Amino acid sequence: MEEAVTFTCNRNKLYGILHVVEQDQSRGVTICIVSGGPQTRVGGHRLYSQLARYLCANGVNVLRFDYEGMGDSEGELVRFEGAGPSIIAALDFIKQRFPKKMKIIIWSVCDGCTISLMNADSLHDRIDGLIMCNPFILDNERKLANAHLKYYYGRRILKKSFWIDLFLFRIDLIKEMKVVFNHIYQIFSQERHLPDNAYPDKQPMLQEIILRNLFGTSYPVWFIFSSDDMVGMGFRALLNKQKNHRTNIKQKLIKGADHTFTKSHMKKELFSITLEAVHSINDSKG
Amino acid sequence: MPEYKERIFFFEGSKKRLLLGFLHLPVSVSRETGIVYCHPFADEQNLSHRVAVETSRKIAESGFPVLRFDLSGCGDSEGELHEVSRLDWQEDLRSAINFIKVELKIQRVLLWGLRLGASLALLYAVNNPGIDYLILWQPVTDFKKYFNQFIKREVISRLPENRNAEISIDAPFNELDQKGQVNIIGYVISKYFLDSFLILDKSAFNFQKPVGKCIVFSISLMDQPSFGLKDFSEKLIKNGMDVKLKHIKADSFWDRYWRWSCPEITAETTHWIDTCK
Repeated sequence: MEEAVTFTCNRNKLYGILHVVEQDQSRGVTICIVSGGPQTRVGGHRLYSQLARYLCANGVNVLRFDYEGMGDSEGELVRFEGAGPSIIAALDFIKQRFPKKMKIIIWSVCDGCTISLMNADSLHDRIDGLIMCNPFILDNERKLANAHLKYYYGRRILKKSFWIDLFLFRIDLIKEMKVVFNHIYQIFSQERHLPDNAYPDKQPMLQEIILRNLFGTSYPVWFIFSSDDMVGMGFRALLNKQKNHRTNIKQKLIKGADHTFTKSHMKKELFSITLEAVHSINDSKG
Repeated sequence: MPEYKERIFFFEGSKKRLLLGFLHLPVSVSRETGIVYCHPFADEQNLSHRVAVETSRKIAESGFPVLRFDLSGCGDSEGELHEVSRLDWQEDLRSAINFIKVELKIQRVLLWGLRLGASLALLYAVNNPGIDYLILWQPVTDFKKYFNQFIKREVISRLPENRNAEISIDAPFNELDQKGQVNIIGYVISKYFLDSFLILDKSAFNFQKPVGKCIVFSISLMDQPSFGLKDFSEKLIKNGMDVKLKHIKADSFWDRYWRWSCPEITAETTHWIDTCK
């Protein structure tokens, strides 16, 4: 069953859709979908609507909603940096709607992951797990250049087709080399920092905040990465470089998937892995 | 405190599918006309959403109720895109119009649409009685050209993974013919859906039933409307419709990220609506 719902954040009305499982078929868990920007509660190519319907058909309640200033919700646009209060309002709404014991998991993509981790302190008493797809952490051109070199050019030179094209003069070598040298320059040039208003306290790098909060979590965290997405693979590389290994953090890779899982069979795989993650988190202690 | 109330709900559309509706109601309805908004197709719906919301709120503030809704297979409504056709969408529009007439007891109807939504609004108006006003934001006038461009985006999106592939511009069309459906940047469309539009030629916009006043807004960064839109508007006038064409020099917010408002089109639209009863 789908309910059109309203709740309040900073005196603004936020609108959403609550997918509710029949009581006797419920698994006792609710997902809160946190949109990546700049998407509404529906998502690009209806990703969130379809995911919610799939999960609900498999016994999982789901809330999809618009942040302040997005979609149908009232207020000025806050962008992902300011979406923390909206997420907290959504989680509080779920708690009120399902007063009996109910596990709550945040599912997010791109900068929806970023905002979930940035606000981990406020969220940890409210949620029982995180499922994050292709987190955005490429907060400067140096990291983007690094990911592009490693995952795009790095893979290209291993392909036979690249060398055939090269010897048959099908590649604009000068143009490609300019791009590569530009990336190398960006990697070794001075890091650029976020603008002052992106994070008001001490302007630490976004990456440090995310990693510190991530390794401070005690609940299960699942990452789902798309192999053909530089944003997600950039984060994966960063995560795998850390020496701080935690047993509550799991990773899954969907080969051939892009940032928002546009291909039908990739979308199906995403849904299936999400359900697996939900079961795993639901069955875990705590 | 806004001078309107809002309500989100579901109502029944074509083939008993539940459609998401969003009503912007003035605190006191002071006009005879109710407005139904018909959204554009695929990503254009997502990218233009906030402009439609902001404009609806401004219209409600001036005393007119506005119903926005998701067509079958779109947004929060039931159904999948590959299951629907233009005829289902026309039925959805009929349901939305009936809803606003019955629920709010309004006497006159204004249909407002953007891009393919504008075309659907016009198609409905010329084939059904009782539409008093039309607002068409940058309507799609050539369905074949429009869907060809949409389908070609899939070819472009496949290029990075197929540097020397035999992918051709016809590949998605071939897939559509062979399998009956094709995934275009995440949107699965069927031959059934596409054919329901391609079967129409330009005479589809000749009106069978009288239509009231119509304004066509051309929206682009050029200094004047495109030849296609000028020609389209002139044909409607020749066919006996009361049509005005107005050009707004503004960015095409339906195909740009981070364009949350278009104050020019919002102001011009609310100004024109103010002349309605």
